[in-house]
Amino acid sequence: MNIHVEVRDVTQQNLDPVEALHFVEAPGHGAGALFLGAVRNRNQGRDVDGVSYDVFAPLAEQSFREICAEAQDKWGDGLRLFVIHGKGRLDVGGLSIVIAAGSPHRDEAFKACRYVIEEIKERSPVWKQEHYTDGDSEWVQGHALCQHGDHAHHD
Amino acid sequence: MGKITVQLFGAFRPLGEEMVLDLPDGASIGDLRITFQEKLPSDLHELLEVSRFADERVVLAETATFSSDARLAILPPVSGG
Repeated sequence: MNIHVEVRDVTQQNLDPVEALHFVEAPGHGAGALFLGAVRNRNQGRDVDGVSYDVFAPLAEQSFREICAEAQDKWGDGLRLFVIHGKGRLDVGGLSIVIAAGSPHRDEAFKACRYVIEEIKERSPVWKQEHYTDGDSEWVQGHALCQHGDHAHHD
Repeated sequence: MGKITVQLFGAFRPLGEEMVLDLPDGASIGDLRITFQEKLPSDLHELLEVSRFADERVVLAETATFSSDARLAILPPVSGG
């Protein structure tokens, strides 16, 4: 299997970029691309202390698998892809998502990695609650999901 | 009549982990939306309008039907990554 997807409780175990890069290695691959998402200390003018990630895990993993399969359709089924998304509270600097793509050449790896993160942001059932240094918390406004059959595949 | 469980996520979380609703057999997601809204405080009605119902595999169309003991989820606009 050349796709690995997972939702992990980050209060139990951190996300590990090295694990992602190892998974996408292959003898015929000359390229590996890595995307890391981390908690920023500031968002929309407010000082952020941490973020809690809420995830509907079965559907999130299903969406990751679908998105990875779409990337393989676009850039070749030799592409190896690793996606792991965190669930639970993270402090500033904590990793919330790790995506790795391995392919024979760099162009496919870069493009696939970019495609996967952009699609996850629009389609996967994950929600951020930001915690601010003033003690307040707010759910981040996001992208409304399409219903089954509505999703237009776009390039 | 069936007992439908709706798991709550994101900005619906302050209401709890899940909500159990009574719906007649053959009810659609559209029917579920109406019953669910009746249980919500009015400040969440606008959020419900842009939220979708789903099972563990797919986001469901408003015309979709479900079994009388279905376990579904309400998904507000997403903000992952």
